Amino acid sequence: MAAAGNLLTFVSADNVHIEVERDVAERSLLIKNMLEDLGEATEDIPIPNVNEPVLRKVIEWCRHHKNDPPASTEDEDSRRKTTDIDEWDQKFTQVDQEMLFEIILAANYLDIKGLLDVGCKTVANMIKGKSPEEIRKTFNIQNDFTPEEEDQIRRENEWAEDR
Amino acid sequence: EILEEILLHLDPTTLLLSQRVSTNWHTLIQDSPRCQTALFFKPSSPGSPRILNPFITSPLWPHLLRDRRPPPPTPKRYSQMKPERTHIFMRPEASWREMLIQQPPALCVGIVETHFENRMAVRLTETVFQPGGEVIRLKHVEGAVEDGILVPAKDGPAFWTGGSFRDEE
Repeated sequence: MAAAGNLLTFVSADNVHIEVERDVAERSLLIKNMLEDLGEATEDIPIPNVNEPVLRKVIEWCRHHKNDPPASTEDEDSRRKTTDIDEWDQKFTQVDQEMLFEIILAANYLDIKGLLDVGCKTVANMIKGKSPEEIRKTFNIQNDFTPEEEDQIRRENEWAEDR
Repeated sequence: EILEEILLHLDPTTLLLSQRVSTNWHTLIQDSPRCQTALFFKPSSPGSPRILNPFITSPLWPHLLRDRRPPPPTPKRYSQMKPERTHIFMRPEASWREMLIQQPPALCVGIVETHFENRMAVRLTETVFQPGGEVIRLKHVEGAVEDGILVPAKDGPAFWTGGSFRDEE
């Protein structure tokens, strides 16, 4: 199926065809650069590693944010400082943990800085203020320290637990 | 790579304590220059925005002052001394000693002292303190306080009142 006019066709990893407006698709720098190299895209665009439900979420985000100014690298520091997430993005990221991580991986692969940022901030907000024990529980992480190693790290940083 | 992006959005306290989650997290935080800068261990590049090490205000300040003054003279905005926790701060391996006072790092220190009840009467005592060409880490400040070279200002870190912590380019 050839893309007509301003419409492109993404093909998800599970082989589902999804039509996307070109300006929406170009929120992804990977796609944008690819289209620039190709000139005119007439073929379906395979998006390996990203399954349909995740790809649809990613496209939904790109559509909502298609008119955002391009991310500048200059205010990277101020961007990092704040973990504020706008209301629409907060609703958007209210998904289960697995979906959230899949969205982050897809944003990384497709090079969509804004979405990667929102995803990382959302996870950071889930970590903030939690003890290592709580973090392990939240993300199902195995404590693989020997008791001696863990005690050593605790002794170095226990002073900061006073909060 | 993505975990690093996530961790960089954390506040310094959570980031520091997160090293105990797993060996993977510990290694990543130890090996990431950006995490080490965010934790005030590694100097930021010149020209970066100036940030005071937030651990100084809380919880470190009263412990730097220990035994120097009668019981907690610390103003409300600083955390209060908890004597039962002193030994935790005083451990030789406590990580705060390797931290910088501010980013980008300071090379010398001056102290502002308030000498009268009237807060307007502030005197700048040019107690310039330079630990042998190195950037100043909190262990240097600790040593200087112990030796009586630096006398902590009553109202907490001097830079709040006089901006006398400075870089020397």
